[in-house]
Amino acid sequence: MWFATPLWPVLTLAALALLTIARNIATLLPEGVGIGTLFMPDPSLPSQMLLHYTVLPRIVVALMAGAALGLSGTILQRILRNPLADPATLGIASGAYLAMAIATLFFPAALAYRDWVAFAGAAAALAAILALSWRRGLSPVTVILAGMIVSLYCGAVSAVLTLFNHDFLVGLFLWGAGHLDQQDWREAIFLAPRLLVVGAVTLLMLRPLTLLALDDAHARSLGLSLVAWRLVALTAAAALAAIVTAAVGVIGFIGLAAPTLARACGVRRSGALLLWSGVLGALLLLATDQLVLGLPTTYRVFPTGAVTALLGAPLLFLLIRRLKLLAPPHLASAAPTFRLSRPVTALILLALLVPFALWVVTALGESSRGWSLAQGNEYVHLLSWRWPRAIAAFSSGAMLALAGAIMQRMTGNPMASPEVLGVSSGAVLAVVALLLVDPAPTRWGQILAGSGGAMAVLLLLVGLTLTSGSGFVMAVLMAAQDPRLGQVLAWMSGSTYAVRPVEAISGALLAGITLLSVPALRRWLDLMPLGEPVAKAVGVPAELSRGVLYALSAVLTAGATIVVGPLSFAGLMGPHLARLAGFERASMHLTASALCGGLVLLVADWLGRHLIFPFPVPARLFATIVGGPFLLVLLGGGR
Amino acid sequence: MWRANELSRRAFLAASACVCGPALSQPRPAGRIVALDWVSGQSLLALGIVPLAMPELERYARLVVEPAAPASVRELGLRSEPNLEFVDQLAPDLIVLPPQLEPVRAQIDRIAPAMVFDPNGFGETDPLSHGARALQALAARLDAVQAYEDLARRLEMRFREAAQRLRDYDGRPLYLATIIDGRRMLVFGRGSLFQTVLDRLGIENAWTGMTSRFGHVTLTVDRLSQRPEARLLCIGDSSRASIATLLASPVVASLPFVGAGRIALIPDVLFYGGLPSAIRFVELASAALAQRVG
Repeated sequence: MWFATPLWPVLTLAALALLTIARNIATLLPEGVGIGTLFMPDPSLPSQMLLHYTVLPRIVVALMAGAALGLSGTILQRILRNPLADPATLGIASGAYLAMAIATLFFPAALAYRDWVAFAGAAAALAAILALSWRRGLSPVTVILAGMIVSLYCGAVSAVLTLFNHDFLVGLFLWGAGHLDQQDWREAIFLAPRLLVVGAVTLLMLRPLTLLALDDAHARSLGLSLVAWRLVALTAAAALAAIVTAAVGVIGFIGLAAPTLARACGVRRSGALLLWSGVLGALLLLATDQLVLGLPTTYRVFPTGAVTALLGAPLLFLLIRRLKLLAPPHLASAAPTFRLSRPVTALILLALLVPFALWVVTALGESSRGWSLAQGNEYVHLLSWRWPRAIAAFSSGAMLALAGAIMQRMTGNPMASPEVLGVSSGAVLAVVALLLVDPAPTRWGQILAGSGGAMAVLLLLVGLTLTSGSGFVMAVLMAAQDPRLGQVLAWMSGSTYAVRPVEAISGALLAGITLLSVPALRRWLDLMPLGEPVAKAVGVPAELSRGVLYALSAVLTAGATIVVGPLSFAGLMGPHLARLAGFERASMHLTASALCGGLVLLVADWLGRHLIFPFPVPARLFATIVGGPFLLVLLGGGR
Repeated sequence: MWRANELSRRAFLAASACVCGPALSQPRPAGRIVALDWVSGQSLLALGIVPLAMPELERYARLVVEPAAPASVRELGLRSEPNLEFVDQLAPDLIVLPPQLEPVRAQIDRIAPAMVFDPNGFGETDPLSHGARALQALAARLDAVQAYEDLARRLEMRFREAAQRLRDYDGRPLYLATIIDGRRMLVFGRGSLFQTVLDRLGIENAWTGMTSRFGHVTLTVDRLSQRPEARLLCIGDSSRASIATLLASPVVASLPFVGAGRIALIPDVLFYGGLPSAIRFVELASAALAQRVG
């Protein structure tokens, strides 16, 4: 269907947008609007001023931002060869958000140039991603993984800043949530020339884009310089998204939905796809925004960015069902630097380190009287405070690392981790929802809600959708200035603060039982990294083994989430530390991963509690901030 | 939630109805007390009791301001996660906690007797009376009934002073807002502590629309144009920084009350917390308004 056009969606959206605009303007100016009123409002009549300085620029900004996001999404989906790619893939939003947080807290004067601060953050995130994936020729998978890590890392740093300073970051929350409301023509004037220039650049990329969507060999044989064009295309797509983010904050879903909708209507050629994605993106955002504007006053401050995500979730859900979920192409698996000659001895030594570490973190610490190594009765007393947190940190680290190790072996993808499942987002949503209905939730209520949310994600496999959704729900809560915000932020940051003995013991039991079952799974896990054909050939039941391993890593992730909250990084770090230490065979590798992951979180928890005593830095944020660069090196080193 | 309410209600009944409850029959000297949140700490200080420790002292000094915490008060860490091991080492006689810390109540109970203090009255029509009752119950428990009565009298005195200052008030409705970033603002209305104060002062709140459980709502600044005859009282130092952006907005700049300079600014006040917050707000607001009107 060469002539296929998304005529019906375009007409429907346009009609919807026009109707809502007409209604909104009629509410403002019941007596009618002349051309003069539009362009030269009477300063003494507030409604005319409102029309000219808030309603009109809002329409213009929505159209421009929507079109830019649609274009950006189309380019990214083509060059990354992934129908789920969107501007968020490149860490644009998280980079911009972090830059804004730093500026708000430490360089408030810089906020006079808010657009530029956000743009600089987005550019830095993109630069990091490009640098990290340069060695692998900007290959799509590497770019996506680098984007994920950069996003996580910026997110963790922002989370620490937010935890300590949320009183002063309300403006940032509002910006981050993606409001389109305007007070003058400033943003429109900021957007127009910049988007025009970058948009013109994308026109030059029509042919290369078509070719980049093919596989590498084809594209190269047609005489295309892959790296050069990928660099140009990625930069252009990122620039479009960054300009929009700088002006109006984080708008989710449009960059994903516009190209998807266009494709679903049968548009195939690059040029047509760019055109229709732009048009659809503009109309989608305009219609959504005008609907938001038509809401009663109290709900009018709902961020448009959040509403688009809300509307988008069902569509994405359908999409994911149609796509083959989570089948990342095989990356050349990282070969170990060396192989241990006596892995069993090494493993025993590592295991012996655990009781020693547990003793150190429970005995050594700062108190109201300064540093001390507790002994005798004092130690027994302190132990009653410290052991649940230590055991919880260790066992949840171990669980996450086990889940990570299983997923990495299963997919052959060294960057797979429990995060990919999106379990944490489900848990977050459920806990926040509980907070909205129950003003002072009990610990059990939180645990039940969290695990319910986590399990819902596992059953429905909508993790990817929820990841953006939960961020927006948080943004709404933050913007509403809820006095209980601190508690949610603390829980979300993965702290062991509220862990009780019974939870710590359940976590330890779950981790222990899984470790004991490792020998039964070791054959599958030894063979799966060789690829599915090989595994099948030697008699591994593909469906059964995948189902069992998937369920196991899901239960482990949920378990850790329930004990210490949703963020995780130990799941990535544990398996890599074990591999770097030279543990190769599945049973050795899994056990060592669990021990390493556990130790990482144990040490992170202890350090986090003493770094700025008596203030806590949550274990998982600490692990992410320290572990992030390590993983970036791992990826960038191309080993 | 019900547990927190139940506790304070029981304590209140015991105190006010002179039922022979434990709070009255065994008066305890106001000894070593730890406050796990700002509101408890603020109320203890207002009753003349210096807590052993409180969370986020630096920010307390910046955002709550009054009553100031003396240097002897120890730092407990984040409000959301006060360091309980530290509290344990301080060996307090009593721990005062907000309802939000109910999830870790079991750990707190291991240290010392604890009581939930919730003067905020979120979701109630009259947060000020709710706060007064809660504070009275706390005072009864701490054998500081006299201090509570002094405080209640001080509030009444502030109200009388304010009425005196504002006797020539021009009757214009008043927007109460914290300007967030120059483009959006947090507006206080029905259900807020500030609203009850305005009611007592006989000043109409210009924002009559819906508010959240906490008595406020986030609005874009152009909503100020709904009542061009109004006056604007900006609360908090964050307002000071963003007020230039606010005035640069063409819609706001065109409003009569901006042209006539009917804008006043006061330092930070907690928008919840009961009596101590109300005392500070009455004082600051009436002084700022009197200056503008007079």
